[in-house]
Amino acid sequence: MQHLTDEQLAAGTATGDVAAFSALYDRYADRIHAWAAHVLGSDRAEDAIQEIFLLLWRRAGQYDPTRGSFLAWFLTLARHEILHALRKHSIPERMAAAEEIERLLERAGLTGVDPADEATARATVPDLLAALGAMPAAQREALVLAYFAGLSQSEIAARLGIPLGTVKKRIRLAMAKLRAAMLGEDEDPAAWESTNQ
Amino acid sequence: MTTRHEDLVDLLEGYALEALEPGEARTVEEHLATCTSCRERLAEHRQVLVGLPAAIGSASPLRLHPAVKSNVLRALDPRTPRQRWHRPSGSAVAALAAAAVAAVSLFWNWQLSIQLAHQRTVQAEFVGRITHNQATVFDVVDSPATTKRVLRSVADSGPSAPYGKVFSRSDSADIVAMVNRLPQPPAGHQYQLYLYRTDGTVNAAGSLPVDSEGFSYLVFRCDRAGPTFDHIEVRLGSQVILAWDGSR
Repeated sequence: MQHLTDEQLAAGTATGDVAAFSALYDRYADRIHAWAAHVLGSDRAEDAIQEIFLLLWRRAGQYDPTRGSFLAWFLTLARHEILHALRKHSIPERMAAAEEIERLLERAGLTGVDPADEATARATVPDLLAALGAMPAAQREALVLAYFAGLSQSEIAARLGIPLGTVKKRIRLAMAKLRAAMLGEDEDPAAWESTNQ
Repeated sequence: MTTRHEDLVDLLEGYALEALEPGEARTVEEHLATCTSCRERLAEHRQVLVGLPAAIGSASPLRLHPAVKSNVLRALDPRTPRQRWHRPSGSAVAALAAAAVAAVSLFWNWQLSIQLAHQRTVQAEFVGRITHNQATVFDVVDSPATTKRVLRSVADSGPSAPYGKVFSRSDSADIVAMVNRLPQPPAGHQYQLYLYRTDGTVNAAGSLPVDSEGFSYLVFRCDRAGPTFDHIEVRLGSQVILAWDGSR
């Protein structure tokens, strides 16, 4: 199963192939669990993992390869489940969880991570962590609050006491840096022009 | 039209993050319906976001318990009509094969229903009470490799006496302890679980916070799979409340 692509495994899962489903679990359960554990707490993360993978089992047939990668589709599904559970938490709690993630990413980006880790072995992840660690903290904060804490740009602006336009710009710049890191392309120098934006 | 397109391009990151206000999101969706380049750009943004969970997975020290996978696989619904059913041909061989498949399927479903019924029984006993580490609890409690020890009250042998159960598996390092009918401890005190192992070590497994109905449970991980015990106690301070003695 290891030689099969995500998309092939998703097609197998859609036909009820438990081995294909199991292979997808092995590929992605750890990272989704880490994500869920940091925002929901370890107690709830196992439940979230079960819900998310049971949803994958039921909905794999809905994945359309013409609309993007399987992983982008699946992580959107996972994010909806995690954010649904996270809505029971207050916004200050969500911000505190995001702050912990931001520190974790910053630290990992600056110090590196265990290269034996399977996910890290994928070429883009060290680059991604380096970009996350190196980008201005304000940009990383805006991105993490939006993605991991599920706050809207308006909520981020209100909570941080900054203009909405500044939040939008920080997120755009952060995404541009991640894109450059993942694709190995030169980045627009304007994205690094200010450490405060 | 050009200006509108350029304005909307700047909203695509927020749209990919689902961080736009509803009105903005609707505007983007209307534009996406007619703009191929924005759809492609949105797919690129979503692909970039795929990296964030991977980054967390690499950076985090938290690891998923292996038992969760078996619980997920066990919970897959076999009745979902996913597998294509090929109508048997008219030949006798095909009919025989189809009958054999049906028999195997019936047998498998029957076995599965027994397993699920057992699982439901176990889960019903604890439903509403196990609020965290559910997967680990059920995996330890509900397994052919499980050993259960019943802890009895030291001071009370009546029908409403408190009691406890400690579950372990021969193939796992996880221990699950459950107690019931315990009175609330005095303020500032908690019941504590102690595991006396046959290798001579003692594990102070942790505290047992009692809910309003006197129930509590604890998940503890030993340093190796299949730990064996010769004595287990629940104490309140220095007083032994519940005990199991392997020699008894």
